[in-house]
Amino acid sequence: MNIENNKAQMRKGVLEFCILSILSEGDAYPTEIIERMKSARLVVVEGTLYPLLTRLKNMGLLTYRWEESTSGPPRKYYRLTELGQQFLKELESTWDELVASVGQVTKKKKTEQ
Amino acid sequence: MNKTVTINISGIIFHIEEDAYDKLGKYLLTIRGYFKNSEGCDEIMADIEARIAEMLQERVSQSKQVVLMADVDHVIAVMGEPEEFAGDNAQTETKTEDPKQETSFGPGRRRLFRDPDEGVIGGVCTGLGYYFGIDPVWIRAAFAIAFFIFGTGLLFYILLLIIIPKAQTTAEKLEMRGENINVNNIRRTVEEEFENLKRKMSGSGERWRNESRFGDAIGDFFRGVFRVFGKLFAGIMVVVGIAFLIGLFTSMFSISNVSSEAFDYVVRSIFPDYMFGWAIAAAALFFGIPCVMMIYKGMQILLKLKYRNNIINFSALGLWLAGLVLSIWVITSAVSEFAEGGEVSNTIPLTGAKQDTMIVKVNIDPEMLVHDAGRYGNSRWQYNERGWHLWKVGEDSIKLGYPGLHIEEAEGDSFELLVVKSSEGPDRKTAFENARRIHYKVVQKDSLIVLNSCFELAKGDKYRGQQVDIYLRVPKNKVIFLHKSTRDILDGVPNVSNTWDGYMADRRWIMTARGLACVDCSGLDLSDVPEDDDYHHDLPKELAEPEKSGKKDSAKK
Repeated sequence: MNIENNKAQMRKGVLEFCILSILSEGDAYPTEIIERMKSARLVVVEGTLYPLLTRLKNMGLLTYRWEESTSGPPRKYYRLTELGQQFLKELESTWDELVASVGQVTKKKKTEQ
Repeated sequence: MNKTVTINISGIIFHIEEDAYDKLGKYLLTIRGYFKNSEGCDEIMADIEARIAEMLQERVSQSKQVVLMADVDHVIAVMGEPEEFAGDNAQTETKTEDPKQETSFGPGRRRLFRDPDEGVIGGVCTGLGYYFGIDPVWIRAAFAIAFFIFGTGLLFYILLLIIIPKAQTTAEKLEMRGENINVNNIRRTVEEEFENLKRKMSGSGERWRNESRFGDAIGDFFRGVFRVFGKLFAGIMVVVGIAFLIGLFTSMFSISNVSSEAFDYVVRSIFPDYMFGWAIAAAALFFGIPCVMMIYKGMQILLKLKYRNNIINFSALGLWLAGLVLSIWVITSAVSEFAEGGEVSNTIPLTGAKQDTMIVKVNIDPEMLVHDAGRYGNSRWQYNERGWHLWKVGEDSIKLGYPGLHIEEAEGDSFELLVVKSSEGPDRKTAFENARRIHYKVVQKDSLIVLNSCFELAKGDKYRGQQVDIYLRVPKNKVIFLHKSTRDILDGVPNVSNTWDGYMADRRWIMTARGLACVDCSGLDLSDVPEDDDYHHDLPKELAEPEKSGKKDSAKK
């Protein structure tokens, strides 16, 4: 078993949650989202993001609009839809529960050790 | 010094070194390969390309205008190797997941392009060579051979030259060279088609997501079946189109060529002289254009060429309509050549017509005796209202066959013979003139009348439905003997016993008050039919068959 792969899988599960959270703070285009996630060391390669964004958009959680850019191709600004906001809320509560329970379990382990 | 190419990513122009370009092209192709089964593959690719454009733009400036290998490496490092992101993605997104797929993945599926670099004329053969994985030399050889089959090779080549796009970018060239065709790749191509179709049919990916796997499987199955049938149909279209086209070309070639084939003579002569070229053009357009379009569309489906060429479609439609209009014009003017009828009749004096018995014989043209397959040498059997007739286009005359022999009661007490020549034409005068030009010979010597089995037109005369009718008038109580050679020209001769023309020959008939009566017909049955093989072609099947079997029986005995 590849430990790097496991790490990547773990990160991947929360990536969608993170994207939705970032967008809940305001509209953003992919490069901005990437910068945020990179600085949080959530994403290693940028390529990961694009299929995720497309999938979220196809699920109806995101919409986008085109905006001209002075320095390059026009940018896709993503925005949360109402469905996306609901989705995010549910994910947030699930995440909180998960962190609590995982914390509980791992803490126990640590104390046991 | 390095060569650069100009590329357009997301609407931004870059100058990029050739090797860097190749790498970038391969990289994008690889990513596309990984996403091909995902929803919104095109969208993902567009997003990725936009980001690449953005990154590359940051790395070029006034002083460094060209994108180098290092820049591409940087882009790839930032974006990540496809295996790092897209491979996982494919696993989570693909519905019909297949682990083998990943291992069989190559640089991209092969597409049909013309090769501008290696080709001799338009790169068609080289492109086909890549596509089918054959050395282009063989394809060139095949085309060269096909060229001599009525030029079909040339026609086919021009067609392919039009429908196959040229490989212009390196990406296209890569796609053109593709990988070797193997089972995995064929399977992958089919899967790709499924996915494409699915995406097209669903409109948005969302609906598909909600549908059950079972529904997907059923849908895929039927779509697959339709696709296979579509390909099959396309293949049939191409083959049929080519066959028709070859047929059309050869028949037009033989008709327009001055051949002595009787059928060709008729076709040629139906039209007024100046119209023949138009008739050929009308036929070529009216029948040829649909054939060409059948081949074209079939090839498009077979080779999965997706681009539409409206110019070709509309010009084909336009040409076909022109052919239609031309055909209508040609046909109406050909029909008008037969608008009016005219006839010339002259009585042939019969010396010694007071005799009691007159023998009627037909001088049969030797070629008329050959009845097999309706065609012999440069002659041909044609059907008109009097049955099968012979046409023969000779060196200096055109022989048309079978005049009709009618037998009537004479008013006086001597035999009379009337020959009526008739013809058609655009107007009465021409029709009359056409009838006058028919040459027909009757010889009479004592009690023997010899009729000719065909009448002749002078060379250069056109077919205008010429006919010859012979009226033999028999006085009351006089006898005629119809020699068996008259069988084919007897034309519905009324008689007392209501005997069919075919059985009237080889017998004596007497003109009574009620009509013709047979003198030596007692005990007439099928076995009495003259057993002359030359005539059997004219026997109705139901009569000819039992006779033959009867013959066999007697042979056994």
